[in-house]
Amino acid sequence: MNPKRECIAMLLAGGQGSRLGVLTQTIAKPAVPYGGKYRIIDFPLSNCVNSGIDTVGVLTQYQPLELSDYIGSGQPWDLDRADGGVHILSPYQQIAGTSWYKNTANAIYQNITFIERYAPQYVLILSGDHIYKMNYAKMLDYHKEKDAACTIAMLEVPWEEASRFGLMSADEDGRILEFEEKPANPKTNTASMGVYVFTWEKLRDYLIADENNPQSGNDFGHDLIPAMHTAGERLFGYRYSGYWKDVGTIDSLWEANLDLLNPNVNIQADDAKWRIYYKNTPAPPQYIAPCAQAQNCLISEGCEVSGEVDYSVLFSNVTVEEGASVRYSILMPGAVVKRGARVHTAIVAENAVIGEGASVGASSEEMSAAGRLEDWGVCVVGKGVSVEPGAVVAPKEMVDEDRRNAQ
Amino acid sequence: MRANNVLGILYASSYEYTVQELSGLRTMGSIPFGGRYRVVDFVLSAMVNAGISHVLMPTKSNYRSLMDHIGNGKPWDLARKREGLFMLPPFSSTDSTGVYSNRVEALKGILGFIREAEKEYVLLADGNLICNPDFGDMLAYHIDSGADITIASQRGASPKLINTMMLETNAAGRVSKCLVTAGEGAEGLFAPHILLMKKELLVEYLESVADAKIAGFERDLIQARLGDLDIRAWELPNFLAAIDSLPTYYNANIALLQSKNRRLLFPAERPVYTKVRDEAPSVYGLNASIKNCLIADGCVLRGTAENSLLFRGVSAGKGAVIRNSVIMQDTVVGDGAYLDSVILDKRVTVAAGAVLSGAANQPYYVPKGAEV
Repeated sequence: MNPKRECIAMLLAGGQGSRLGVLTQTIAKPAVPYGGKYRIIDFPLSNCVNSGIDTVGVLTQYQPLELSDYIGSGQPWDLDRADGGVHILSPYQQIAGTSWYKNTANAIYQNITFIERYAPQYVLILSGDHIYKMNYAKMLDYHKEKDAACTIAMLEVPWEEASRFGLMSADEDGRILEFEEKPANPKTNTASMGVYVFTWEKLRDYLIADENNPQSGNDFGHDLIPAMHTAGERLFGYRYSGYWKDVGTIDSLWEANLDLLNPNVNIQADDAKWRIYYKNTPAPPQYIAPCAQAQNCLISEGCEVSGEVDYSVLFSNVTVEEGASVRYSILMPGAVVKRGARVHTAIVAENAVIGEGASVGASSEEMSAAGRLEDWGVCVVGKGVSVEPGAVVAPKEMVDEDRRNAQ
Repeated sequence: MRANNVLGILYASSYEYTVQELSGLRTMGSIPFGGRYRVVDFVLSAMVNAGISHVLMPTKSNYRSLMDHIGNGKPWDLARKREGLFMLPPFSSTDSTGVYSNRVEALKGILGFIREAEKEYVLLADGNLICNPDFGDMLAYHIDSGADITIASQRGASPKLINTMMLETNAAGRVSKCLVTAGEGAEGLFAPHILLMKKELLVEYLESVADAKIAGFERDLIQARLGDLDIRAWELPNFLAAIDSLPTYYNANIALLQSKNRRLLFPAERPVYTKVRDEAPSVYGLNASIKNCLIADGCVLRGTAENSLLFRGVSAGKGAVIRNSVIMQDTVVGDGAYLDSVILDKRVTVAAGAVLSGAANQPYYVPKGAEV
């Protein structure tokens, strides 16, 4: 057994994801289902394995039960290794006292002992909030070639969204000139993807210094990276041009799911050379009934479809009964849409039941015809919630308890 | 009841000669079935779901695809330190090739494994059966009735297989008469070769019978001993298909399009496990028209499919029409091709515009990897 690794990954999976509302009431954001088969965390985990990184620490804090359960021994990602593999790292008690992970940098700081067991030269810092496929090995090569202290993956984002991200500008060689976390008035639209490669020696020094600085908020983007930049360390930007999406909001989660149906979006979830692995739930193949109409959609195992499904993503074991209509919607595992119900522009969480003739959400066409386009948006029905026959859920609503029929 | 105290023995190779097209390169157990499974998955999963954690799987020939499928037994939760799944290929030595010619010889060859298993009962099952019975119920029946041997049985037309037993029972449920190979497709209470008994009884028989004297379980252990052993029939309450020909294989697949059969074969409390492929969900294209089909994950559908089963990773091109067919894993059906009543094995490529058709009683078969 030789625990030494050139590079290990630390995956920040402790965030609450409060903007996802009812979807993250009882689970951490990285455990949120995505794309008909996956959970968000399958993407960074599969990227690691496909990039040859076999040691991953997953830092959990908020509602870790379902996430820990899901990761288990790491077997679905081939991360059940004799040494290395996947490790769940939760905050723990120490002689000096107990402290939660105060922020991203502090979470890594509290796990310095874990990292040092593998005596890595490089540490890859990832988050469990993004959908993308990336070969970290190439980024690591770039980091070595540039002899960088820190390399930040970056991509162009739409200008109107730029202020949500850490923004940076780089010179021709890729060296970062300026770094600003979520500025109000963006000067550039080149954003950090929240994927960092650090030379471990450097990172360790800055983590300790950051911890000893009472003014610091202990955050990578706000504190640690600016401190490195100010000190004149070699910070480089690594350009990425494929599909990348932050799924931190209901709208972006909905869009990212429907992106899988867009032939112009280059996500290729089915790419056999860069497979995204997931924990399988045993279910028979999906059945499409004679009266069903399924077009322009993704459907998973165990589904029974007798109604109309258009422009939607159906996770495993979803039922759509005869006469029901599902459009522009995401139905998570075990969701049931009963006879004659309509689900238009909605996210229906696990095991929720939409009763006969109920109406959930509305399409943008419909709202614009009614002159109420400003009220249009994605509505969410929470886990296990039952929408009674004939009941109505309006666009943009989030429902976390059973909805009665008002009539 | 939990069948923890039962040793499972599942033959990987049974009646392979009846479907030579499908078994040319594989065992009966590893023939693809039902969109995402192999034949062996059904009985093996039923054993695991009943609490059986020690399974012996004697194989005979062509077992590479089976080894690839079974691996270390992890998908069935049988990769264990104690007990687990044992694949037992023929054991050749200087005086014998180890390749056996019948079930009893196969068991004699693995007698050491049977003796060593610390189990009171043994459940024997053929490898050509598609069913998902509750073996816990069968064990409870066996114990409650005080039977020496319990035989799973079903009423109807018996499969066209040699050594199929036709049973008659008396009012108390005891088997009073047993005909072996009564005739092709005879109607009545037939037994598809799933037997439950004390391990001791099986071991005694295997130790006592000389190779040259073996007449098979059916004659030696059932027919000849109806007088001195309490032998009972337990009726299989489930969907059952015993593969005995290519049309039977085809019809058993197509039968899964009926929801009644799916409910019986895939009850929520007894999931059927198989090797996973981490496929993406299936993609239904803009003009796809899919009616009455079972579709596995990883398919890309841009054409029309009706009354068919599409295995994992099948792609159907624009304007392609697939009717009444069984299309195995990773097969590509070109644009505008027309298929009716065909079985396409794995990784077949059907050229654009090609037309292939068979009949329900004689489906047209295309072998693995062929280009048509």
